[in-house]
Amino acid sequence: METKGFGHWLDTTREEQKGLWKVLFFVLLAGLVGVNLFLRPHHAEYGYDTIPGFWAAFGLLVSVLMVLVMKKIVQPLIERPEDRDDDDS
Amino acid sequence: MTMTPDFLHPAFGFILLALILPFLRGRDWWRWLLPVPAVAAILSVVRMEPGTYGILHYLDQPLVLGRVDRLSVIFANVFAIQALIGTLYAFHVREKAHHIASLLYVAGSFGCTFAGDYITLFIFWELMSVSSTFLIWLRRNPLSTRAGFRYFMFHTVGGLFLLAGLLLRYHAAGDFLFNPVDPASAHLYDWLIMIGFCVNAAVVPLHAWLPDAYPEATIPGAVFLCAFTTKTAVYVLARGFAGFEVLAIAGTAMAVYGVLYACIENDARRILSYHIVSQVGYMVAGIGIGTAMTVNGAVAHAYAHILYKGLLFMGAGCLLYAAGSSKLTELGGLVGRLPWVMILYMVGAVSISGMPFFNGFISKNMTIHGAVEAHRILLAIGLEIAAVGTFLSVGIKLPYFAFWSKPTNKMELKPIPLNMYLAMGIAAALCFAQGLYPHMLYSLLPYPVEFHPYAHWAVLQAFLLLSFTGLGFYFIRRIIVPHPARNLDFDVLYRAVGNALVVLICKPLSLVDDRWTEVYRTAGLRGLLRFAAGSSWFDKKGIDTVVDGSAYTVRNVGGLSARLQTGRLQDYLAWALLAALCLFAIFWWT
Repeated sequence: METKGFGHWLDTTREEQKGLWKVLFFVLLAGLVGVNLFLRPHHAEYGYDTIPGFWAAFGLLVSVLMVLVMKKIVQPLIERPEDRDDDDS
Repeated sequence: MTMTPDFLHPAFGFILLALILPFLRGRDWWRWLLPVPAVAAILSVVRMEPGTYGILHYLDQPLVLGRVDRLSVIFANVFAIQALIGTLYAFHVREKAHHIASLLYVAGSFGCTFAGDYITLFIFWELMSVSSTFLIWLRRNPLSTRAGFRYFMFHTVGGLFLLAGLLLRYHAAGDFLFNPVDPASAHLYDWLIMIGFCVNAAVVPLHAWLPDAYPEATIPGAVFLCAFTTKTAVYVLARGFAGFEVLAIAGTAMAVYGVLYACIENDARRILSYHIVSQVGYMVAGIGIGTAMTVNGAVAHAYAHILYKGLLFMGAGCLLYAAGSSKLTELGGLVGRLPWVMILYMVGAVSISGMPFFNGFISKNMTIHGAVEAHRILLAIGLEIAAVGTFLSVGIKLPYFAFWSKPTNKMELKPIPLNMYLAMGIAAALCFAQGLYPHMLYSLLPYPVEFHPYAHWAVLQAFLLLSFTGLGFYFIRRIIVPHPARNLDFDVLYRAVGNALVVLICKPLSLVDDRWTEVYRTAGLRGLLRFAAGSSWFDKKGIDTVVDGSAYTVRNVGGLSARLQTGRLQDYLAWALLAALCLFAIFWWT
């Protein structure tokens, strides 16, 4: 199936310019932490949030831990076959 | 009465159209009537002046149909807008029953919003519960039929809590007035009422009906469902139960619980359903903390949430409509073929994630900031954790596995009707406009706003949090891959309780039944036979001539009611609803 126009551009850029998007993303991350060195909250609201990079570390750790715990530990305990919504039949 | 020059009840148009729709002939011209009640509701809401309208008297009690103040008006405002968006999204549907269900459902929501007493509230509450069930059943497959039954059962139980509470309250207080409850002097009946509200707000652990039923609803049905039930419940909680500590804790628990489940789900609409639980958690927490800023935040978030969550459900609905599935394992590689669905979906996704310049940012941060100001740091951290989880699942995981990952998908796609795109475009434009001009939303809030969302640090913090969540996804992208599974939730507990009740009631009953049959067989039957012989003689001699005429009448009535008795709960519900509406209409307009 041929795609065209805007969709075609999206479709090709995700394959062909993968490396470029990755570089841009890491530049964005570095830039944000860089700005954080100078721009910080006026007073600590959570205790440690005046340290540069606090919220960056928070986002990274919470997302990684959340997925590891839920996918690796919790889901194997509670999953059932899909399209079955009853236990007792 | 319901209509004065200053007040036209927005529910009026919806109920009227629902009542006349079955009698309109012709294939589809009547669809052009569908947006009329929503437009009328928008006009009516923006013209409303604060006051009390539509007072009726019933059993010496005043029933208030139109309590208009800032709190009810802001909810009615967004309900009216979302009713129009939902109607546009459903415009291609030719099934009248579907439109009647959604019209009555929206009417119920308006009725609850303007209700000044518990009787009126209860009537419209139940109208919502019954009509919304049809939005699930009309999907017409075995899974949705069963999910609809469970949904209806659970809401019936929730409604009974509300009914028990309001009757006990009447016994104690002598009236049905629906006013704020002081947390320091709440009675048992207040708690019962609050539990009834919490069922509809999907407060954990009473939430499992929502991710169970919404993914099984019709495509446009889910767009209506995601807006009205939980947000009507948020409204009544904000009205009656602000400052209840238990809500602050339960709300934060909901916010975290919902995102945890969402990151292991496979069905796009189930992921979004768990995110309703999570987002409503922010509102419930804000109401529970109870300061002017957090209640403002809860109401603002409800407004923003209705718009972006509707948009997300419309996007997921487009996937289901075009590809025939909303399961991430069956999708993927669609970005080139449905680019505008992805772009519109992403507007909703960054809005719910609280990205600056979109409406989630100006509403979510109000609640979190309010929690910090009230020195509720733990709650605020819980809400920030939920914000990370939201962007992870709705902002990255869902679009990545639906549109981005895998090579270009070759599957056959059904063309998406223009009206669906139009509805999504309106919702996306509103999400963006409110993000750029917070005043659009803030000027409607119940309390004066002393909050500036676009402080430099707040913008930087949001971008740091979201982009490093993106980095987190990059690291665990091979672990988070969805796989086909259904995850157990609290519904297992509900079923255990249900089954236990069945056993508890059925066992003694069947025992009594067995004994009775035995007694009847030995003693009753002989007596009956003797009695029958006697009455047969009397019948032959005297009655036959008189009764034959009426027997025919009885048989005819019996035949009619036998036809009505199809033995299907759906039909009974529809008839009961129709009868109730007629009674209510007679009562309302006389």
